[in-house]
Amino acid sequence: MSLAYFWIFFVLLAIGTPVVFALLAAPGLSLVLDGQDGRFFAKLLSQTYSGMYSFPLMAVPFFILAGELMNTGGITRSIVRFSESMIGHVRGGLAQVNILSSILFAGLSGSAVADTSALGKMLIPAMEENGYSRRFAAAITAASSVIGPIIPPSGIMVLYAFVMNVSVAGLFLAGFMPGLLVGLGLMALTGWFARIRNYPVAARRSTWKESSLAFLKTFPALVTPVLLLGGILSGIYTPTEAAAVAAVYALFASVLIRTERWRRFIDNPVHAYLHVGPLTLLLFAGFTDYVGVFLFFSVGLAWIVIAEILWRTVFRERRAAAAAATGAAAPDDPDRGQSWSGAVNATARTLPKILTDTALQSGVILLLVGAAVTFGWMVTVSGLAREAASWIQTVTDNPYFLFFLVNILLFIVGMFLDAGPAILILGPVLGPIMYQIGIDPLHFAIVMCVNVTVGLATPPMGLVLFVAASVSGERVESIVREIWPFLAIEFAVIFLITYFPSVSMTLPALAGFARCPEGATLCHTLTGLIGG
Amino acid sequence: MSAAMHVLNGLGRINHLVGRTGIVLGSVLIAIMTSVVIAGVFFRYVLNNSLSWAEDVSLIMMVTTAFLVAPFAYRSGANVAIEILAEMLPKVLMRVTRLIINALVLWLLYRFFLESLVLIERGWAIRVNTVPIPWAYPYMMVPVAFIAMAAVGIELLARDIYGIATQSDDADLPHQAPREPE
Repeated sequence: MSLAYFWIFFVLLAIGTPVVFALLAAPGLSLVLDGQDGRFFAKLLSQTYSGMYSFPLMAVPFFILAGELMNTGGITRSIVRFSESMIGHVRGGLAQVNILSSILFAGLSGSAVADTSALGKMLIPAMEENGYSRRFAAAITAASSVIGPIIPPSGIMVLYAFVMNVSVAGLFLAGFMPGLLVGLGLMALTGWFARIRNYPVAARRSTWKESSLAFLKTFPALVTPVLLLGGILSGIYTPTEAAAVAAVYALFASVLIRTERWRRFIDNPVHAYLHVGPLTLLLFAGFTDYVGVFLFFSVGLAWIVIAEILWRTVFRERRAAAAAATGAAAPDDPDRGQSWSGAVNATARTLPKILTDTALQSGVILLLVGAAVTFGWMVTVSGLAREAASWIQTVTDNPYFLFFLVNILLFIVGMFLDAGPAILILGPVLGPIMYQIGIDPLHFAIVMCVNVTVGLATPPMGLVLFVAASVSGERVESIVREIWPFLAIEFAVIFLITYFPSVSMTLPALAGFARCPEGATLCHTLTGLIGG
Repeated sequence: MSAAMHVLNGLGRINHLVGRTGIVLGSVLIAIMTSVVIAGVFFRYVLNNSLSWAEDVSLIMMVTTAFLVAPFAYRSGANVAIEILAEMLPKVLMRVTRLIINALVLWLLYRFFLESLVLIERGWAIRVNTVPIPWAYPYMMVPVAFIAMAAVGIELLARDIYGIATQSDDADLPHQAPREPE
């Protein structure tokens, strides 16, 4: 079988053929040119179908559904308010709020586009009103949105894990530290910009009660990552089932936070903390073998009764004061919430659009995956992967230098290609080469995922740049001029996780998904402690 | 030219209707798929009685959804493409490039349609692992999707031919209209 399909693929891509059709037409044309279409064309279709027929891949539509539900359920607004109550009072506060919101949002949705669009719509106009330039506001929104697919859950990681057969849970754990490092790096740089550009302070320091209220309003959403990772790591459900659980939970959370009962419940932080504090700790414990889900439910129900008794006896003075304050509240207060049936109806009205958006986005990705699996099959049977590996090894046999070259290649590809297709096309080609030179599959997976994710914000074709431009009304070129320093931070994190594997690999090693990298003393000590 | 425009608009309306129907059916399947997977967890973990068919049924629904939404995605330009070079071309050349791409897609759909009929034929002899139906039934969605996509491909080709012939953008779909360089 000739390698003509490889060059045909690039020509088709260059003239603007949709990637899904280029991935299928290039092998098809190549087979016709070789006169082998009669023998192999049927295989192209069956590979596309069987490429999509995979249970792990089903996590993609579920994560999209969960993200859409969270976005339309008012959870984005509560995340921004919570971030504002935490760091809105520092210089350049709204820019910091933007980054912190992205970090929190990353734990709920796995999409940078959803992050840019949801947070950008709220924060870019607010930042502009506060004296930031619109291009800076758009740039920080786009740059921080790439944290979305790095901190779990992540659609891109699910795709990689599916194509390259690595553990989704391990990859999710590997994403935590790089995501936090990107977030902290962006916050540090923003702090420096705030000082030299004299950016305003967004708000006064919040009182304990205000912070508590903001936290409790966001609380149902913040539980999502615990439900996801807890269930996966404890083996109660698979990553795919976890994604479905997250979607159903997002539906429940968007109804709950709309209700008057919930708003009254969190209106008195002492009462709310009395319930949710121990219940959260119990939830963590419920995912371990020591407690288990059934004991969690029984003890949890018992605690709710005990907490209510405590609230009515020990804290009766506070309860009376809270009841008086609630009674004094205006009945037409818009923040009072709705009845259960009202909240269910309001959520139900948004469902048709959420489901159609999910179906469209999922269908596009799934067909792309099917096409990429077909292309990957062609890469294998034509011997391209083998030839590429031997060619690369003639360039250098130094794994560090090779990793550097691969990072540069991924960066260049990321400038032009969306993260999903980049992973689907390059993963099967580069993965085996890196494994051959001794790079841990999970380590390469996280470096590749972070690299192509950062590519979402790099010009000229960074998808989130276009979304930020459309949300802000600012030209892409202006945003690009402002975004470079932030991208520099993200590149620094990529090289940090490339050459210091323990940064990303310690958590997966602790959970038993990988071995500790050589020389990673802390990782070895911690795994020794847990193992011992 | 107005007769050609009428035909184009008629084909466009049919394709839009078919595409929207696919999206609506796809969204219903997504909702059912989610319920089936959650039911699978509940039955396995709480009732200790796993639903053996849940995985296959939800997977068939997922793949069917991908084929159901494909015509709408093709028509609305939802598929990812690198258009940076194509957008630098003069308007006529850009249309010619699109004609080539859509003609190639039509050829691919034609070949895949023929192969999908063979796939169904073979599917009568193989049963789905955990569901008592032959694979031919789930495969039936495949040629249907290819026919609907081919109708979209013909519409897109016709719209570009109309654009070249009349030197106007009147027949372009909203996402298709060539943008003037800024």
